[in-house]
Amino acid sequence: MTTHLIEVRNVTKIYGSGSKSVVALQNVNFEVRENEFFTIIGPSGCGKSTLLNLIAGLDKPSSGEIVIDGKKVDGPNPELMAVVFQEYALYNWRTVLSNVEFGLEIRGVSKVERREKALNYIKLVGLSGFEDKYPFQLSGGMKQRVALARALALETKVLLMDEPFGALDEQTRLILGMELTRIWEETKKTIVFVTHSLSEAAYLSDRILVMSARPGRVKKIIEVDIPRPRDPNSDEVNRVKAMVWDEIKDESKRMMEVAL
Amino acid sequence: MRLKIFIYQLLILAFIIILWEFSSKAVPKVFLAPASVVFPLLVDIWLTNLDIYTHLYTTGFEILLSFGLATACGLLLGFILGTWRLLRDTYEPILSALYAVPSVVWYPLLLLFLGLDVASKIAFAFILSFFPITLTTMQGVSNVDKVLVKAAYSMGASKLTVFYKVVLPASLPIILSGISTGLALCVTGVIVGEMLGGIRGLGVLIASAATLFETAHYFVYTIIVIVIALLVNQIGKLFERLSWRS
Repeated sequence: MTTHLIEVRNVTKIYGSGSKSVVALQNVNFEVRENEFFTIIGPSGCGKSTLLNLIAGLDKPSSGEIVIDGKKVDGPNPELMAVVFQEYALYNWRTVLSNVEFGLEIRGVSKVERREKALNYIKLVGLSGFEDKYPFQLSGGMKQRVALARALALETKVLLMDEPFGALDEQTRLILGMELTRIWEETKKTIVFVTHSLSEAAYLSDRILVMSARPGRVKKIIEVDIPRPRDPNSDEVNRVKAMVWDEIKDESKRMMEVAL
Repeated sequence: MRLKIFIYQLLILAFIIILWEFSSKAVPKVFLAPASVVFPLLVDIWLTNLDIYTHLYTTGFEILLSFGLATACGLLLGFILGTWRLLRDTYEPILSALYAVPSVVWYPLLLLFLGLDVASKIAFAFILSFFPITLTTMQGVSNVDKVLVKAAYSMGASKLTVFYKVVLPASLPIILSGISTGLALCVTGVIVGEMLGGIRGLGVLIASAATLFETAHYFVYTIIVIVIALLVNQIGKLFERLSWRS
């Protein structure tokens, strides 16, 4: 039996008011299953990051509601979900270890216990030996590993990722994607992953939600039943990529026309 | 490398002193006292004229007090304006406009209200350094990368925790550079204030030596001011080095 861990019901988000208001999301409905790798993809500016922020409780929908694990979202809930941002959001004045401990520190976990956990997750993301480095001494890929370890250390059911590999080069993306798959399988989390990369969506996901251009709506949800481990260059992955592209290309064009 | 730079700096200093010595031969003594007169006089005043310590103490006291007050008030107001958007949008233009006014125009008023002694100097130096400290603190606090704040909220931080665990450390380098600027301006404010009218202090000594055409004395006091300025500059750099960015 599959259970729905996250339910997004009739969510609309409007920014501004009066004639200057922008409808970022309109009547968005979908569910995310437990232990699922769920990807949201769409043309830039379609509101996919907005949607993730709403799920994370960092912003409130104008109407509709989001229910996670039976509870309505009305603010950040670090017991239930952790967030990874595209910009890493690391604290430059803290070492890698201390960055990873941050969330646990706020939770009030004892020093010994949070150190142990942090070291554990630093190892899991492959950064052992870098505990005492500062973020500015690391490459982009390593920074995002630190951010991932920090989110994992909260040991939440849900992991929300907002274009986490968006600022990285292609090779680093591929490698981090493979490692994320491994970590996801080891930790049995439910991941909601926002991306604009077709390859990432096709290669990583159980299901892909394709969003329409502004106002953001659910255009289609694509099931990906390619067995893992997957080869990012296999025919199956390329076929899914083509399917996603079919759905998304008109939306991207529309978005560009709006922009022009 | 560092030794090499130090040696070059010493060479430049020696060159300036030699140039000074020779050019003083070419102009009347009232215009330029030669280095060979000024340095012995400096040693003489330092060792025999105990009055100099009273003046130094006054100047130092004025600098420290004005700097302390300006830092305390500037940080407080800067934090408030930096965190509170509405207040910032309201008062920032006023503060910036006031900052653009040459502060020396307030000095006659300060003399009138606070008298010729130390209070007017402290107030003047305060005005000079309060604005940059306030404005840089405000900018530092309000320009903290939003995603750092967002990440902290997502991990369950309260507003207070976000302030002292994220906003404060993130803006520290900018705040410290503002404080360092403020310190340098306090020295300027105190010396200028004393020169424009005062009873005690290095600035008073400089002004009176200049009025009496005691050029050698004037140079001696000026050298002392330069030494103080260099010291203060080093202290300012020390402040900036306190932050994580270096």
